[in-house]
Amino acid sequence: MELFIQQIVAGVATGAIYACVALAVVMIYQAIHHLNFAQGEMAMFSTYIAWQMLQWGLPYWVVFPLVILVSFVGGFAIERIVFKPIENAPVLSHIVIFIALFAIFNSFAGFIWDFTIKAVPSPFGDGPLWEGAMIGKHQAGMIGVTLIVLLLLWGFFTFTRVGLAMRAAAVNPESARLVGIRVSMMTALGWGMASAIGAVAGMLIAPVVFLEPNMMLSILLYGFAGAVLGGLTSPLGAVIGGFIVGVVENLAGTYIPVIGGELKLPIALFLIVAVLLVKPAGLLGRRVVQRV
Amino acid sequence: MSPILEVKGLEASYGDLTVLRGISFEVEQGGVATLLGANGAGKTTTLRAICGMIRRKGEITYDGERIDRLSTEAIVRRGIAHVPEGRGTFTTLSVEENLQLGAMTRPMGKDISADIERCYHFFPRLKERRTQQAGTLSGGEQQMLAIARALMLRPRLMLLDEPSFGLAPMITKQIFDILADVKKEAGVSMLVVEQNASLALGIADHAYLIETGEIVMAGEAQTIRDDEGVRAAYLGY
Repeated sequence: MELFIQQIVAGVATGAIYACVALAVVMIYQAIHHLNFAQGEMAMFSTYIAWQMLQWGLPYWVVFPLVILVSFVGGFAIERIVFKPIENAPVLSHIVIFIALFAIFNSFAGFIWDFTIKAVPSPFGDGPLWEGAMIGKHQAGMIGVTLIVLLLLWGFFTFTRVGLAMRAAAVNPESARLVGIRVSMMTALGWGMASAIGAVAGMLIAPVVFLEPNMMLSILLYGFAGAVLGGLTSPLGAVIGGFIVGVVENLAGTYIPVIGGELKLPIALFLIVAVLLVKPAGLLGRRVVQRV
Repeated sequence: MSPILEVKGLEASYGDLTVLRGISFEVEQGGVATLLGANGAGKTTTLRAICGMIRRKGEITYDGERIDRLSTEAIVRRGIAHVPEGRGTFTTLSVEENLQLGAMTRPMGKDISADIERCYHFFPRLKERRTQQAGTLSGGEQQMLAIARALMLRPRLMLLDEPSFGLAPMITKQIFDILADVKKEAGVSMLVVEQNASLALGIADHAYLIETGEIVMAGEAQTIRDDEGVRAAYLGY
């Protein structure tokens, strides 16, 4: 029994990582209706920028907001420079660019900071949350930050005008233009926000997995799984989905002997396929209901 | 008084297919003009061209200013509200959110909630359904929502594309009654595109008959209504 609880708690802790990435995935999906394969690499690059600033001796709580800001501007700029010109191009062109961005960020990170792994400190400190606790300080902090980001997003989309405009642009771009919303600006904002959330995820994940150019590869896959599970249209769903993926991954690794440590990754893929078959809208995703 | 909207030699095409062959018409300040014509005559295209939703050539003057080179968003900001064919509601957002979006270009403030109340006064059905997802409304209610959302802009000119589309005669009549009220109470000018000619002529001051991208007849609504040819072809009696 104790092992079971331990595994669940550990699952929730890793789940916080996936939840954070899943949030970024949902954010970008809302804005462009695609999954951005380069999302993880963008987050990794942001984390390197954070690491560099820390190396220069800046205090962590200065670096944290600064990197979020830089990432927001970066994401916004990527949309304006790379995607705006191909607005009306077919999906395939977008996918090609996602892959290109993936390669560019990955190689540039290696080129600038080389491929050796780097340790990133945790702002919450090391060790268990309290003496004998099953959860570490960093894990607890990570869960906390994820929930704060979720709360901020919810507030933004529910109570602000820009949030409403972004939702409208996602639902019906043509009608959004007809009420005077600058739809392409909303898309760019979505990119900026997704990139900023990705930066938060990256900075929280790095102390756990160590920083290196490929650190986000498998994590992004779990993040996708969490987002699909929770529903690609729901930030809350994404967070819940992320936690569930973490727990399922841990329990399966412990209790199903064949899976063990090596076959954990396919679980994410299995989850994605299973959800798409059984409940394509995800747990909390909104099914589009329309009377005609 | 100069007209609020003046269109001269408007041309538009989809690829190789020319849809508008240089049409000209105007909408008077506070007046209602209607474009009548069969399916595929170019009515919807005309509205989309005015709003800058498709490439167009020709002169479009709104309130003394040329708008034929402006983007859709910029045109909307000048007070032209377009109620598109098929209504174009934000289906997954609530009725009230749809109305708030209509006022997106106006500065935030109390008068927006006052205007929402005014919309509910015109359309009490919407008030009952204020928290419901717009996509779950009936066709008539969605049309009401689309018109209400357009009113939230406090437009000086409304472009209405086929407001009777797919609706029962009772509902259609209700909607046109409300449009007549809006015209009288708010003094909004309107350009109405309709296949149902008798309805449109009931509310219009001027009418234009459009056939394969050209205006073939223009005049006072009353004159057009009394014309033998129009009566036979469009009114059916």
